[in-house]
Amino acid sequence: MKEKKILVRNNIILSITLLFVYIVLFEFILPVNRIIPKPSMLYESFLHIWSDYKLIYVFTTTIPILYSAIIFSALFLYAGAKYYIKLFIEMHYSILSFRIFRFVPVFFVVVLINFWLPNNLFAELLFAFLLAAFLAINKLFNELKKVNEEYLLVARNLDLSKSDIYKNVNWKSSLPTLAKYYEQIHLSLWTLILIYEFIDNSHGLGHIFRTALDYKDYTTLYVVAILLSLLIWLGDSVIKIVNKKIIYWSPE
Amino acid sequence: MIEVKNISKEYKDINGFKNVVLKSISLNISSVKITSIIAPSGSGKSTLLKIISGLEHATHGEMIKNENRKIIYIPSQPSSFPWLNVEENILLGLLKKNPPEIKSIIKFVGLEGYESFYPNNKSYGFRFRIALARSLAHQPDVILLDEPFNQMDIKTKQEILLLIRDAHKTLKTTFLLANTNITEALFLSDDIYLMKKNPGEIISQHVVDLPKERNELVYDSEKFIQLRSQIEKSFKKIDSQKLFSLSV
Repeated sequence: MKEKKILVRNNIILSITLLFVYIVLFEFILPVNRIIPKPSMLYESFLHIWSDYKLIYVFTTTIPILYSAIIFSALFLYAGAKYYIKLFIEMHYSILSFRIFRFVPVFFVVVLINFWLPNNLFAELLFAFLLAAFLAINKLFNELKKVNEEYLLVARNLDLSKSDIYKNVNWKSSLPTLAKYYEQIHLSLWTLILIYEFIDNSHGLGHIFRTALDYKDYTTLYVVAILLSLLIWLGDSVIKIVNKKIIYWSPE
Repeated sequence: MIEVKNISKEYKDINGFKNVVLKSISLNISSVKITSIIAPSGSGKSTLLKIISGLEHATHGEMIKNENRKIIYIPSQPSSFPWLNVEENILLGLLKKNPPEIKSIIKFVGLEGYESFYPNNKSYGFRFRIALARSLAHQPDVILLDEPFNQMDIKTKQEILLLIRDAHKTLKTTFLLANTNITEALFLSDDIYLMKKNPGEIISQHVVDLPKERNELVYDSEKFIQLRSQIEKSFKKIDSQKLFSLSV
């Protein structure tokens, strides 16, 4: 706990120092350049981006799509956990063959969906949901192989039904790693959703990046990137808090 | 009583060679007694206990027991589930939601006041108490203990040894213990079987005629020392390599 406090304090000090150096260096000392914009230019861009790029509208598409996909995939995983575990245990090797799909480049899938269903918010939501669900189920199957053999022996010895073992042992045992993995799914999904919208070029934060790039509006690129970082940080923090609530025990 | 008759266990290794783990094991587990199997590591003790508990099948041989006998197996790592608190762990698998005897079992194993605690990051002694309480809650005919003292410190080990003796005396529970340590087995048991490895085979049986009431003083008694030396001699008769990891 003490170490964590020190880490947070050091991070704050480092961020303030870097911000100070950036402001002094790029506002007052270095000339205007195309690599890193002046702080005042960023501020002006920040004020204009809301009307020029309809940022509020953008936020109401990308963010709901991404977080709905995460929530739906988690519910899908939770609701069907018993069946996936049963499927895995009873068809161990044949079910693993579906993992061959992990070698299919996601980028290709993005291009294909955009080709079939361009400018379609529902298609984007479906893509995000399927991706999150695939990653989570794949992780669940990986974790099922690692369930402590002695937990299973004890459960069988206590005459727990198969269904109870799936629910109370296999699922609970895999849950801490799965919940932690959602932090990674969250980061991957942000990247892939941005790529999706960048290619689709009709809506969302990815579309802003594309437009800003087309207009060579590099200050907007920076402003959106900063906002995006804050959003990702916020999302990550929320997932961590939810995980702490769900995983109330300390995993082995 | 449970009678194990000529049980053998074989399996094929990855190269397809037949590996005999247990060979013609026969033993009697008498009711309301503590029986121990002392054997070196890797001799198939755990496999034997799993076969007796019905968690594994023997390749040959049979087990004669009443159909309704409840046999509870406590693995070497006492598996208390970290996502369940002490009380939930103990109640796991019970048909009745909260039987009245649970409170007395919790008190008996020394977990009173810890009902809402989670077992992880707790000592092996604590986790063993949970496993024992859970087993007792199922009112078993036999409890099988697989090397229960492996990771306990001396003080905890002695407390648990006394707890098992107490459970045996008070609740008339039958125990079968698999262990590598002669002293622990002697302290606990009424009957001892010695087993060698490669393949696992019973080499002798000993009756422990120590007083029923036992405490730390029993270790220094003449009878105890005599029995220990008798068991050590039995082991020395077989190949010294097979004694590997056996402790006194």
